[in-house]
Amino acid sequence: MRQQVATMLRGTGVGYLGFAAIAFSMVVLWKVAALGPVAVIIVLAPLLVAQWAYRQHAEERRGQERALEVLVAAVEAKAPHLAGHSGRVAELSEYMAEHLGLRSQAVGDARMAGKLHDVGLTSLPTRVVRDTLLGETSPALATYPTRGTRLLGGLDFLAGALPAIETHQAAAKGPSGVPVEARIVGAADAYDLLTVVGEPGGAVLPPQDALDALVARRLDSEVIEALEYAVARRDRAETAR
Amino acid sequence: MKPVATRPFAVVVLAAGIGLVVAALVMDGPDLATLVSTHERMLLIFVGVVALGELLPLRMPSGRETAPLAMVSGLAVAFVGPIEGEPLFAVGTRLVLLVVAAGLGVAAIVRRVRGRHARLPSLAARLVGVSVAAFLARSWGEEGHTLWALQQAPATKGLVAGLMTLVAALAVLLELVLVSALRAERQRTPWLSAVRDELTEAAPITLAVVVTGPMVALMAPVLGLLALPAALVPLVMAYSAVGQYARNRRTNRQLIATLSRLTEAGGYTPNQHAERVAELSVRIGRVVGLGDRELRDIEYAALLHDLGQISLRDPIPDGATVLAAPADQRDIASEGARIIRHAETLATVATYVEGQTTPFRLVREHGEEVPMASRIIKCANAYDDLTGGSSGPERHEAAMERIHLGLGYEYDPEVVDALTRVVGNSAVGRVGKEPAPSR
Repeated sequence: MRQQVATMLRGTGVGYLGFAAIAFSMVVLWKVAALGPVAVIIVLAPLLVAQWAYRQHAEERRGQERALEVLVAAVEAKAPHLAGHSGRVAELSEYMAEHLGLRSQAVGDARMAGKLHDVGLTSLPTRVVRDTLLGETSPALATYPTRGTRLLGGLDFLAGALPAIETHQAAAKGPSGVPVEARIVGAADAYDLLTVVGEPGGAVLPPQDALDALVARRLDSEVIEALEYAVARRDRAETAR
Repeated sequence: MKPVATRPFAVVVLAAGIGLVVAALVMDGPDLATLVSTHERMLLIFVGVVALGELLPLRMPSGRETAPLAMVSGLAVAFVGPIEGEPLFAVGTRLVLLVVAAGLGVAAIVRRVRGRHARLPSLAARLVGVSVAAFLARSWGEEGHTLWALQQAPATKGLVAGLMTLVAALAVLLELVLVSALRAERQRTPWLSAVRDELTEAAPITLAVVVTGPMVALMAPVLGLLALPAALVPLVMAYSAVGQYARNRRTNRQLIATLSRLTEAGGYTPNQHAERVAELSVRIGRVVGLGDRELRDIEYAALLHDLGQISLRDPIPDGATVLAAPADQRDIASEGARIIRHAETLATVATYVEGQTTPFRLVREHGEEVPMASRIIKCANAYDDLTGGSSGPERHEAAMERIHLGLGYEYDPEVVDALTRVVGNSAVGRVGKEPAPSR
């Protein structure tokens, strides 16, 4: 919510200034230059330009979000057992970041990192990724966070999410000094793997057992608490749906 | 820039521009001194703004550059009469022309000094456009009843505003047609599609250019020279909005390019293969006259044409789909399309990717509808697979020979023809002087 307001203000603040200038021109033309109603027609064109430009802008922004979905779909094509995983981790990460009181930018980064934390898998041979289901883990698999950051490195708008993508795996394994977004994504990822994706063989844990398992890994208690809150919030949202 | 001899139209436009300036100098040269001393401040500002507009071109998301600010300022000079706090700008068409030419000339010199192309033909096109407007406003009709003279009569203000807009529209349209013809000649692409792109991509900007010139003239009697910045605000707004739009578009393209690298990083496709196919496809697309939107989609589809390989358990040899069995090719293409369809905004792109494996024979014999974009990607992909991205003459000839074997059966002859022209000359189908739609 806070994030939406911030984006909206950034996007429209400049716009209003421009619209004010257009309104001023119209007053001058209509009243002082005595053009009368013709002024409206003349001023209409700049208004259309402004409108057009903002619409194009919005369309491209939407395209950006959609293209990210393709990236997630690519992960799921590579690793079908992870279907829906990225979306769930993104949602939990966002709620957790909000609960921990992060700034709107950081909340967005955490969500994005949650969504894209597995992107590195796509650059591994399919065999390596899918064999994890059979319990075989190749050493190459552990490199996926680094591969992910390398793939996304050129994208400026993801710069804030990269550290979390790179270190979430380490953060999920135990106490660490990595950025809070990484600890968030790491915990959310681990929780979803335990409760929904399941171990090779398909066994999943009930939510409370999964949380206990994370406590046993000595993850940050603050982060665990945020995770509990996020899970409860998601359940609430689901029953409301 | 190509040698002039290969660009007859550019020579014609340039000659027209130079002719206008020389004629004006010969006939009105002696009046120049009076003009400069009477309207010193105003001239300085207008020449400056014309030059500035020319030096700050607006880069459209498609990579085309336009100079709306220069055109607007030129039109303002053509129409302006009374200016609050300044002497009445009562000069003839030819002196208006010289003022605008001075601004354009300054821009050309600055560009040259900075080691860039002066782009004289486009400047000449702008001059021709403004001259037509100035002529219609100042010399057309009886003495005292020209459009320019009428703007001082309070009773007909509304009518004058309408007529000025009409004249400006005519001038802008002329400039636009000339500029796109110049571009089409430079890129060897169909002229009509260049005009259509110019009109559709920049339509609202063009509209703003048309009304802003008259706006300056109409507000000047009240606001004086301040009318210029006041009227230009919306245009500046459009500049920043278009800039933002272009940035977003670049980000989107980067994102798609990232997707195209997934299979490369996994060792499924050769490095830079997708980028090369995209560049080739876009250039072929321009040559066959595709519009801006289609070109964007063809670029994205070409970048993603091998995405389906991501689900392959093992890489195919060299990632070269042209050598894979037809059924495998189809599977890869439809898997790619399935992944791309997760973004509903990319539905067209997915269709293009899906169609890339259909042989042209099915289009010809069974009337199957395969988008032109898919046929282009099919051909560009085959060329790059067969040459392995090398530009050596032997690989090139072997690849073209193999493609020609499938002419009409596998590949669309029109596309193969365009491919031949594109790989034969690096200027064909390119926008601007950049080597490639890089990044």
